[in-house]
Amino acid sequence: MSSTEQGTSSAAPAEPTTAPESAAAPEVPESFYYVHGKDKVVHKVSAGALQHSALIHGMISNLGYTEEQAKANPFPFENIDGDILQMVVDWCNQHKGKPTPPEDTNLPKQKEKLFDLVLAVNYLEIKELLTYCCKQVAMMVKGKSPEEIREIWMIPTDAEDEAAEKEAKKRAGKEAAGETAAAAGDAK
Amino acid sequence: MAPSLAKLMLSNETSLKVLGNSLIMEKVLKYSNAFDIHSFRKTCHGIRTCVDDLKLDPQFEVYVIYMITDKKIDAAARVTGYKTFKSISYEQINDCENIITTVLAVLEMNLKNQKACLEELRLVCSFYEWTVKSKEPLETLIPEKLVPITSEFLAGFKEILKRRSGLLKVKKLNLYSVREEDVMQVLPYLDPKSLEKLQIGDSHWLHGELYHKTDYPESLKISYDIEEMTKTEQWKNLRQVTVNTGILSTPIQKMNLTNCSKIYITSVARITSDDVVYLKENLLTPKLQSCTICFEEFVEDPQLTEFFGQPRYIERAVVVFKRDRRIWYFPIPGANGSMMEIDLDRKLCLENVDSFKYE
Repeated sequence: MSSTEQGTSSAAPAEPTTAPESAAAPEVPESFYYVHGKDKVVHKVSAGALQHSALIHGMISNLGYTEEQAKANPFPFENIDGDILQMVVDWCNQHKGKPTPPEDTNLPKQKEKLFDLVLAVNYLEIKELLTYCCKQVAMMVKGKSPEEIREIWMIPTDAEDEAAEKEAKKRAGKEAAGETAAAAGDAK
Repeated sequence: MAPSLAKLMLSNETSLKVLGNSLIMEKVLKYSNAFDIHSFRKTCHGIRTCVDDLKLDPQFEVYVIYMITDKKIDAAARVTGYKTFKSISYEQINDCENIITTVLAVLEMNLKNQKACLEELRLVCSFYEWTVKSKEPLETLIPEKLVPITSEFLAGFKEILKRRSGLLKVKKLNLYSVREEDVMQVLPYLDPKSLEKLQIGDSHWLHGELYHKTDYPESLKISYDIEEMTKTEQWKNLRQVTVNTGILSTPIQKMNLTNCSKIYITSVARITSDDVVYLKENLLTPKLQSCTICFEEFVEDPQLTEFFGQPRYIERAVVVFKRDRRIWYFPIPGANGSMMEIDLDRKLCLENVDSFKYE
């Protein structure tokens, strides 16, 4: 149902179908919106799938875009990597209009990707997917020592943190001193 | 770039953004147990602050502390829903550290946000390593080394309990190798509505219990007075009481035992006919399960037959200095045929039974 398009491809809006007279209610054509991440790849997603994201759902409701306007103005999520946004879009499509299952085993197993996904999902306010991701994070650290957790997620110790900060400050100081000296040389 | 700086940059960009975000962390910790939460706390300052701000209930079910020596303390805990305990050993390596301060700091951190009722809180003070045969004689170990750290520990624990925003809920409190003043450092600061069972024991009892020995030095057997603790609201609400001490000097009628359904006391210094009658009258209710009281001396004046009539069963003592065993039965009002059995020989047992013994 979803398609990935580069730039602004011309996806024709769905034509309303003529409902047979016997039908109880006329079928409303599904509307589509467009989103892109850091890589500018535009994803066409149905409004139904986007309902999972409280953020996008709120934006759609407030804007009241027509199909053409939506196509011309994809929602930009510059803080989300393209592959992560693809994962989010796929998840929203897979779970469109369905009750979410208690478990989701299709989440990324690589820790870096999982954390990127957590941040994206948190930003887009996709409650159910955030819950799955958080559960996976919890499972990955279950029974681990603080040292092991630090190793998994590359967390510095307080001492390392302090030392690294000092080092960064020292470097910044040196760079600033170098720039001042260069500026003084130019002035002469 | 130095590895530590690379690590810091990566963590700042991703790990801390995730694990330092309270909304995300709250969801992660929902699926973590108290030990995992504790591990998260110990990773770094940013994550620790985030975890602490969430004030999550660690849901401890059982918490145990063994004071093994004045330089070694073990703690073990089990979380609701788990079968196994997780334990940690604290050891004082040099004299500039204070092991009690360390243990208390962890205890406070663990119990600060505990809102769920602990099924059991067990403090085994002076659990001296008798298993590893000590070179020092027992007489020098107990008073000189163990009592001071027990007092220091329990005084600190009392402050932790007082600093909590609400009274700690505990269903069963076990205090081993403690004196009466030690019990008073803990008992009055627990939620009286939650506490159902109390078990206390002195060093003498613990020694016998652990090693099945009766060689505990006479000089170390201390007289025990529980009168003060029996006046607390916590005691009065108890359903089960077990007091394992050398010699209990508190008179039975001052023990406030009438709310209990299960009582085990070993041993009181003295019991009289009036005490037996008092117990029979006050415990003759359907809630009685059992009441066992061991005693050093029984003063039968007047004779119990004057109150209870002839016993249903008598077992004559075969040795001159032993007392006859006598058993009486009394129907328990409103208990659908159940009876109170009073079995008296070297100890007094009152029990809720359905049939006669030795028909």
